[in-house]
Amino acid sequence: MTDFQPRERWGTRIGLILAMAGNAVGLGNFLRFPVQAAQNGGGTFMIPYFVSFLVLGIPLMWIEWGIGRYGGRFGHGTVPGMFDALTDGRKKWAKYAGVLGLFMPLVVFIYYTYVVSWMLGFSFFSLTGAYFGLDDVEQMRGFLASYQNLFDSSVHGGWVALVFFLATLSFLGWVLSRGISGGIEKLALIGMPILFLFAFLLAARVLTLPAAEASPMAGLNFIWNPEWSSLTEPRVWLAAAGQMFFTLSLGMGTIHTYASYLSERDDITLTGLSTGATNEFAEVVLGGTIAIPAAVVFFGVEGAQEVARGGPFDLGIVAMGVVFQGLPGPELLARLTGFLWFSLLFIAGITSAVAQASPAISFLQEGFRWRRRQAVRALMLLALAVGMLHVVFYPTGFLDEWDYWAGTFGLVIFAAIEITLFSFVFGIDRGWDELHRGADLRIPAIYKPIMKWVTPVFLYTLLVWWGLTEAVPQLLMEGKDPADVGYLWLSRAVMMILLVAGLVLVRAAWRREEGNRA
Amino acid sequence: MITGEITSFALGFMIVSMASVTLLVVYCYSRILRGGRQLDAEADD
Repeated sequence: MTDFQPRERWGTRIGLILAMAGNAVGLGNFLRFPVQAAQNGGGTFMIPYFVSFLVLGIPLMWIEWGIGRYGGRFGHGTVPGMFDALTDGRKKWAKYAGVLGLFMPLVVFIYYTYVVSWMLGFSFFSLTGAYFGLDDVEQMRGFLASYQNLFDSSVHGGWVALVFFLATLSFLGWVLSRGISGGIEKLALIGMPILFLFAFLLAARVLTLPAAEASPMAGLNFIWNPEWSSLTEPRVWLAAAGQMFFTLSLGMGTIHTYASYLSERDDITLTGLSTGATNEFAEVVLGGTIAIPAAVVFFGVEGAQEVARGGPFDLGIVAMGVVFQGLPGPELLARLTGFLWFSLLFIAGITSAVAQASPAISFLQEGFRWRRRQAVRALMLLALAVGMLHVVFYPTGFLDEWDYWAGTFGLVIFAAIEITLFSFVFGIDRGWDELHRGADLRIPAIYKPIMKWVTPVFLYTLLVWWGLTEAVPQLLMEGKDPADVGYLWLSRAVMMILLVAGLVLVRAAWRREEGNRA
Repeated sequence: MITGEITSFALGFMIVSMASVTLLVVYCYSRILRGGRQLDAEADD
């Protein structure tokens, strides 16, 4: 690829931290974390959670920052080039393995943008009071199901979800086309403080709710009450480790691309830790204090358990939609509270989506010399075309298939490859020195053996466990409705086409570069 | 109003967990602010 090309740069350190935190803080912080905590032992979940943060999250995050900044020094903004650089160009397979760092964020970007657009839609519905009057869970489910189904016009016209999807894509395209400092960094500098403000306001509102079915404190008790027996259950430890991937956006390739816009003299140890800490604050302090406690107040502990079992969208959209309608005070205030919640989720989503889009844009710019605007336009058109499949086929589980292979299992595969390359091929001694280049924080020496042995063992265990318990049944489509199987195969086929296209494009980019050199 | 329906264990876990991440945030940002170091503006690579 291209050596020593002038590359875009972050404008300020706080802008970089907020952009990285924006990448990490997403829907998972406010929807997935409380559900996981409540389903996996309550307070005791936090023990494996913090252990995972210390031995999996933090080391992998530093490694991804390190790989990204190292690759950026050679003009690589994406993982194929970075893996190639880690092996000093001696292992041809490395760049092809790195295609996962292009493919996964692209795939996740496409379906995640569609999901984020729901939050924009529900922000709008909150302001207009469109769902007010549907004050039980079944009615709200029907409202959401009609929105998600292009062919169900019982509540919404099929075009409604499409309009919000187009609006979200257009906004993302506008931000991305303005570049790293002028677009992504500005979005983070404006969006992240608003996100935290909204989260604080909502947490304060939830904690001061009058008891209905239960009190807000009973809601906190539901999340935090320890079940000691769960500490010995492997599934709880693996759930905590899995949550760490989602919450820190690890194993995807987005951190790498953002870090590639740093100079080799810029600190990554303290800056990286700061983004991780910011994310944990959003998750543990704010994420655990809003949705589940609010659901417990209105549905009681058993009702909230049922909601939590229904998954993040049952909690975040259906249950919260009912909650807002039951808030004491004038309806306008209730609508505004709903607007705050869905806007918070929308901001959390778009600051992550711009990160997911960045590797593909960077690859087109650096591999094929495309102008940024040209690359953004191409990506948005692809996201629209492929995203339409999600809009049309959502009720068949089309999106869930992508979410599992690219947004869940694939993350662990990618992380296992990258830590092997970093600790064993590049070498942990060299890697350790690389992480400390320009460092403002000396990483405790204990992390050297952790990065070399503990984190990889943790990752491989997670990979094997998930592979056996989840990936195989998922691959065999166990429990799927036979009527949906054809759509799920189509879903997989589209993913495979994108993966193969990524491999072909990497090969073409390298050939192009070799041709230029010759 | 917040009413007492939380066990002391749960309250303890919650406070310790939230305090830990809050302290980590304070530590990181105070070090960044004290250091006063910005990104490398001279970078030309």
